[in-house]
Amino acid sequence: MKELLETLAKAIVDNPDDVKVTVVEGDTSVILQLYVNPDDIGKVIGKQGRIVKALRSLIKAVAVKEGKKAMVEIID
Amino acid sequence: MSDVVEEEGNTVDEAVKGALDKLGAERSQVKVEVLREPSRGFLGIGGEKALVRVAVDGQHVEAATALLKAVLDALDLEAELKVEQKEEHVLISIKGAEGLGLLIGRHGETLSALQTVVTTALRRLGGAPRIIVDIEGYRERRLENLEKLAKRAAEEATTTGRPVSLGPMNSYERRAVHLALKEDSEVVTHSEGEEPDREVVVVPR
Repeated sequence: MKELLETLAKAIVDNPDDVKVTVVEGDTSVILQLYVNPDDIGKVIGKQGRIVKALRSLIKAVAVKEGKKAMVEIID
Repeated sequence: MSDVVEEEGNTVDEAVKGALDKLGAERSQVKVEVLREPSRGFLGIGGEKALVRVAVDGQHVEAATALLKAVLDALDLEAELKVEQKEEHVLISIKGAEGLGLLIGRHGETLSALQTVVTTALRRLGGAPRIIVDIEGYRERRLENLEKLAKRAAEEATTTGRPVSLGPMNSYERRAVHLALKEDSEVVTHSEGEEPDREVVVVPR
């Protein structure tokens, strides 16, 4: 899940080297914190949150498979 | 991978073939730009040959495939990726694994998300050919259903004399509905509302 979010975010931003994901793991849920370069925040959010919504929905598919709940937070 | 060749020929087809030979590439792997249509001239004088620029375009497809593989890996799915050159776009179909339904999602939501991410990533590469991702023929089936839905809505609009709304759809699906009813002389179509609730309305003429 972590690797996937990293790969996808890196493909979208202008500064892939600044992409970092940290994981806060609970019993039934996982929080993925996505760090990007401040210049790229708009990129990962997208118009009306389109991109972050797409990322969340893909991560959710993986989480469902792993039997967990996942949340994606963008950290600035 | 970015090889470009300019080639002349008596016809556009001939020029493209010549360029493909030089590149050692297949038609599905390149992007063709016609720089000059052939002209006959007069009595064989002043005629010009066709000129095309042919570029190997593996970059976008490769980038898209890499992203799709990352998603499939994360889901632990061993699916097959098939790349096809269609008239207006490159189609990448994902096939052949159990559990791909998960990646399609409810009403194709997850597939849409996948498409959004791929399109966004490719836009950064510039001048991208349109790449459409499909899973187990979902889009194709959906398009067929949309056409039927559009035709039924057109009938309803004509018989009742009232506009018929088709419910929220994404831009790809709305386009399919507009296209399906483009030739219909009884109705006109337009879209109303804001994303993601934007919907097509079929109005009797």
